[in-house]
Amino acid sequence: MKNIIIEHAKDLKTNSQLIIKSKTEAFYILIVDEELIAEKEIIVEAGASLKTYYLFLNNNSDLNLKHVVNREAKLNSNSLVLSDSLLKIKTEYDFVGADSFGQVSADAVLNGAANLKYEAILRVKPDAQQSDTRVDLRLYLNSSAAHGQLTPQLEVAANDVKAGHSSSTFKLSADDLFYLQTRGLSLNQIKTLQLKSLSNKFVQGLDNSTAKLLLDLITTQI
Amino acid sequence: MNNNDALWEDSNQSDYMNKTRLGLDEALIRQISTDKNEPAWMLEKRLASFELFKTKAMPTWGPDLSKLDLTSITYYAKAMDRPAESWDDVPADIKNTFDKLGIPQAEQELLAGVGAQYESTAIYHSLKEELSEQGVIFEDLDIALQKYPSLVEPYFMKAMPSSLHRFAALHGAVWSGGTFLYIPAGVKIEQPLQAYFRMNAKGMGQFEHTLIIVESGAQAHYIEGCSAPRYGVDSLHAGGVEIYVKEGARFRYSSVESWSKDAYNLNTKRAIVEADAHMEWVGGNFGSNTTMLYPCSILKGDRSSADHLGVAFAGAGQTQDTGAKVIHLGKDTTSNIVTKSISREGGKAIYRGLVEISPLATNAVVSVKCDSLILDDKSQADTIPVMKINNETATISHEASTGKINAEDLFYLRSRGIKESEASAMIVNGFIEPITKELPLEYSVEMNRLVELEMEDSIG
Repeated sequence: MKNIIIEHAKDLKTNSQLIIKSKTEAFYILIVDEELIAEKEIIVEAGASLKTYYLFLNNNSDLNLKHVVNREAKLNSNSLVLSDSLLKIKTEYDFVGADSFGQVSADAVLNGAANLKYEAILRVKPDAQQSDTRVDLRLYLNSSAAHGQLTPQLEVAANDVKAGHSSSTFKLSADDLFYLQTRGLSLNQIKTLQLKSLSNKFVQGLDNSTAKLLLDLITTQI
Repeated sequence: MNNNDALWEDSNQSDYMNKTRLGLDEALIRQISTDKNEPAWMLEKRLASFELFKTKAMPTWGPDLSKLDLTSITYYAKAMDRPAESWDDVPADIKNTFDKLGIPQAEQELLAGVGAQYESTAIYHSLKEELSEQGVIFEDLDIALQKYPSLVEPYFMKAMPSSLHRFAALHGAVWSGGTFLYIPAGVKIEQPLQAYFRMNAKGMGQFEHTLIIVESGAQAHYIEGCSAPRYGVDSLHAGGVEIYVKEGARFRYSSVESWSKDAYNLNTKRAIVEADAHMEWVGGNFGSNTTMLYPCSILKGDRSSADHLGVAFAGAGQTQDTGAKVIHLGKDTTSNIVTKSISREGGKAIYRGLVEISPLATNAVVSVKCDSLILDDKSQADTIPVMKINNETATISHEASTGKINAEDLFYLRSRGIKESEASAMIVNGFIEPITKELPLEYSVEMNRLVELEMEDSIG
């Protein structure tokens, strides 16, 4: 049985906890569409599976999301940041049990005078042998006044594990840009197209109605 | 180069230590300056640094330095009154140490110049005559300050100001000895130059300063090596390296640091790279109790570039907190960082890096790759890369991975009759090969040997 939990910034308490019970499968969607300073802890119990979708839309926020992943549990965490504001996001992922799995992915698109500080700290604890974990962060700066700071941090205290991370910036090559412009697209249209592509990727794995809810919100922002 | 376990076990009698004292105060700083007959500006700089040192706190991030007792360090000890004119004039006990390190032999066979420092002062410096004739200067920095003040003053502690952090301020106050290397415009030196720093006495602090100026279109390779015997008492190395790579020049700085395991290695290395110039850092960090070392390239000129290649080995009780820092200021700049770390027997290896793209640094290209090998379940490897991106045209990629020795590789080698420890050392040497291959053969052999010694617990 799949559980879908959707939370908006206005409903989120300053410090809250979410527990995904053992051997259950759940989706957790957090929509940060207004100013928020909060800390949330998410515990994925043994054998449970959780997919998280964090959507950050144009606001000044300071958020700390902590995740604890137990034995044989799985966590897929996706984040999409569309911002022209000051945003501080710290995500922590503690893998504490053997055979745990984690895939963390975040795309951030910064417009205007956006200033983003994004930390993703992945800790593989000594008992998390045979765990398989990865963090991938990507940054898209759409404005000369935008600033981004990415820290994909990895702390590995077990030796029989797979652990990796990557971070990168993205920009269209001159050739790609030229090709799209020869097809009659303006620079703004190209940027919108890019955003739509990222958004569609972000909602993958969600049911249609939830995906539509998120895409509508993103479209409003675009 | 030879490598001998005795280097970390043997220490010479140190009669000159009777003339030293523990701890640091203004009187000692004035004494150092008087002893070296320094110009007034240098004493002023030392005293200003000391004032900064008193106001700066210990770093609140990184490894635990709370056990480092700065009042128990000997900040200045002079093993010889002045550097020897020839190797034969070096006192026998000191010469014996450097003979074990293979310094005179290396000088004859493969080096363009060689320098050696023992405790706080240089004991020997030499340069091939044909390079002197081309205007190359390779001296002990204390001597260069007397002979070439107009070359030293404009650069000294400009890339590495005392205000940088507590140990840069300490260094500015008590620096002694080190290297001054000046390469005139267009001069290309094929053979490497080398300096070797030996901290011999118990509870010693070594604060050598390396100042290198590579003029436009020049090219050279400089190598530093360091070691210290083990006493069971903390010692401190807080050296400073400043490199100025002018337009179109190329410079490679390599270091193999193998301090004893009671040494704190808190070193600062920075380079300013001008237009179309290229800077390369190649580093191997072995030994020491705690190392904090992050060579920094400031890519000031357009089209300037830097490569940072590093290996760190953390064994029992060790923390190797190393990495790289690149600040992109000019347009069309490029940096490439590749690090490899190995941890075993409870050691902790940390890659800590910063890449910063300034708002005016258009079209910067950065590649960072960090790989860690954890050899047992007691050890740890952390990767902390920070990317500050303030220009939308930057292209940055960072990739890191952590793993263990592949069981199949180990099985294959063991099935060929190779002992497990030897097989592991071979695999580790293969792992660091992308770095060692950048060193001259003699030094890559040295680094491989250091890995083997670490695998046998022989260092420090």
